[in-house]
Amino acid sequence: MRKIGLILKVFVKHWYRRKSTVFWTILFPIIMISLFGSIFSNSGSSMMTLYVQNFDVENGKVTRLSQALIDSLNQTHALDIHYVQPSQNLTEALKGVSSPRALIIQEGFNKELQEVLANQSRNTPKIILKRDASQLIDPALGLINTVIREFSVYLQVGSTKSIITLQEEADQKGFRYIDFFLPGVIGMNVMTTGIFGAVSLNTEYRSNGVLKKLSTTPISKFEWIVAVQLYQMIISFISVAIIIGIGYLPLSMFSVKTTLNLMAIIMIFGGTLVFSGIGMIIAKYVRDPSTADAAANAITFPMMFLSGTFFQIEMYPDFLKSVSQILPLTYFNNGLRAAMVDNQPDIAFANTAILFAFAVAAISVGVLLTNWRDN
Amino acid sequence: MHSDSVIEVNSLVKKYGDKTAVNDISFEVKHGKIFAFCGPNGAGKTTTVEILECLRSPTSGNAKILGLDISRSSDVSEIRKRIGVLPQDFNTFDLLTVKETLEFFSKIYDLHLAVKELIKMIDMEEYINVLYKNLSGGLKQRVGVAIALANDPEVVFLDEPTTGLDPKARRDVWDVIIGLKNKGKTVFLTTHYMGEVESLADNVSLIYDGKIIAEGTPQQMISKYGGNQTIVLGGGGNKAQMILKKVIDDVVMDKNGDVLVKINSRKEIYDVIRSLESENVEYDRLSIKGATFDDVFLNLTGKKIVDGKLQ
Repeated sequence: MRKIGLILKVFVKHWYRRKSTVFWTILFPIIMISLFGSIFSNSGSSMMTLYVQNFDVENGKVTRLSQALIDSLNQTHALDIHYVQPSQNLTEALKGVSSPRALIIQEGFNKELQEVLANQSRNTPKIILKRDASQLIDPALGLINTVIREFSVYLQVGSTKSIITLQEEADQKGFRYIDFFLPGVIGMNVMTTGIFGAVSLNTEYRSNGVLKKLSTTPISKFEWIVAVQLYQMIISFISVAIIIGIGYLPLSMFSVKTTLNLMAIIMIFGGTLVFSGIGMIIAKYVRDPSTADAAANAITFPMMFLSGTFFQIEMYPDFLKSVSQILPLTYFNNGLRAAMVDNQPDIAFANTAILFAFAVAAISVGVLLTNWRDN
Repeated sequence: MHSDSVIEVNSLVKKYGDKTAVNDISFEVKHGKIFAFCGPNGAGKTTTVEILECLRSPTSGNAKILGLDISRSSDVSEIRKRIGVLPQDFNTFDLLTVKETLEFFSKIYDLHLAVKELIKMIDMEEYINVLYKNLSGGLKQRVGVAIALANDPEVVFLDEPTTGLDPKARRDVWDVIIGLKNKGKTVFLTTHYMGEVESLADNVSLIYDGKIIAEGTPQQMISKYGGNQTIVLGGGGNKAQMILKKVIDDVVMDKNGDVLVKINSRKEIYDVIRSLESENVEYDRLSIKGATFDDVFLNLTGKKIVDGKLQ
């Protein structure tokens, strides 16, 4: 333990004396969150999925006018409409979907609308739009409003009076893109810290002879690997603390609503193990430190984009969705969002379990492949 | 093991696939001596020393350090505690100061020397707060030697400690090595510098193509394999070469126009001078050069070592 502590102390000294590592640990996440946060903090997700639950059914058939409205929404080709059966619980149906929108057409819509059109009633029928992650500006909201207005005009033949009321029910939590993005930034940072850290520590110290020197001392391979892992943990948690600190700053433009809880901390621990293990495996095959970064980039960049760091996986083509299923960052991102944003502990737990399975595999292979001395 | 042997190597072989890097070598190193293991790059020096440092396993044969078997895992940890190692192309954490570096390596060992003492041994008191990366090559090697001494080892392995250093830095490292001997340490020095062998070593083994081709003290080997003295006629040119070839068989001219005459007896010295006088041959200077350790290797292999490479 004393020797692990000694190595750890050396790593930490190197970390704060090497400007580039300070940049990647502290400034890079700040830049990322500032950049993406500024762009997206007040906007909606680019996802234009719309869930529709139509309760206006007569004799087992959807009413004519309610179907006509849905068809109008569909004809915009900007909304990807998913139907939720009236018998289904909407909350359950939307479980696991980040930033969903749901349009609820209530029972009697067709009848009330016909009465208004026939001047028999002044009570305009209501349609409810639920937005779990209500961004201040949601492009889908404007589109839905426009379609409803045009639909009213079409039905009244000439009159521009609105005869359908769109009632918004935004979630009180008021999640925004930045809340979706923040766990992604954490995931991205834990991944880059783990992979780049393990690759650079192992290739650099192996190529410049430091590992050889250490292997002539009583320090063991086990102590070296444990020290590397602990160091990665420290750096990961520093990064995460900075990301969350920036996000939480009450005076900042972000003021995120996400919460860091025990499950999220366990996931960060597991994520560090996974990505350090992957780094150790890469380091086995990349002997030259100058190509180590390129090799690490070749792994991290595709994984970053394919694992839902910036955008929801639901909007990817099917083959990319399949690829995302074999990437540990996908489970890390999904689990973190479930734990930090959606407050869905069961989903967070399931993703954590998968993440730790990845961790066991990556660390085991990494340890086996890490050479302490050449032979 | 002989009573004063600290390293004993018997029939050591190391193969990498079809290539035999170390081919059935045996030698021993006595307590308190500087032992030079000398040869060109690729001869098998580093492979041998790394086997002795327990960094590599031999294909066959065995070796004992301080009576402990390098092939027995229970002995290996004890060997590591009792030896000091300066690996070839030594490097350490570049962003630690000299003091921090020595503190780190000292604390690895349960029993270790005080950092102050180590710094004094390498005479680097004024550099204790300098980052390792900002030191010159010679100072870095001195730090390496100090690290190798952190656990106050009985045997110190120095693998090419002066390679790449300028003459002044090389001399400074030599002083440190002589200091180790004076402290009663046994030093195992691998090198391809023949002058280093001549200046430092008590005993030497010459390794060539994986085999030991000669061993003994440097003076014994020079006497035995160094060959004849050479008369050097500075600026003698073609005329001197032509005249002297009439009286001596082995006369060559180098690229500077200096004429080199190998002589077998004192009489031949007089023959050379007499011929030069009688033919009025002009030259800048005349000197007689004795055999060196370079000649030992040249005579044994027919090749010279220049910067570690065979020529």
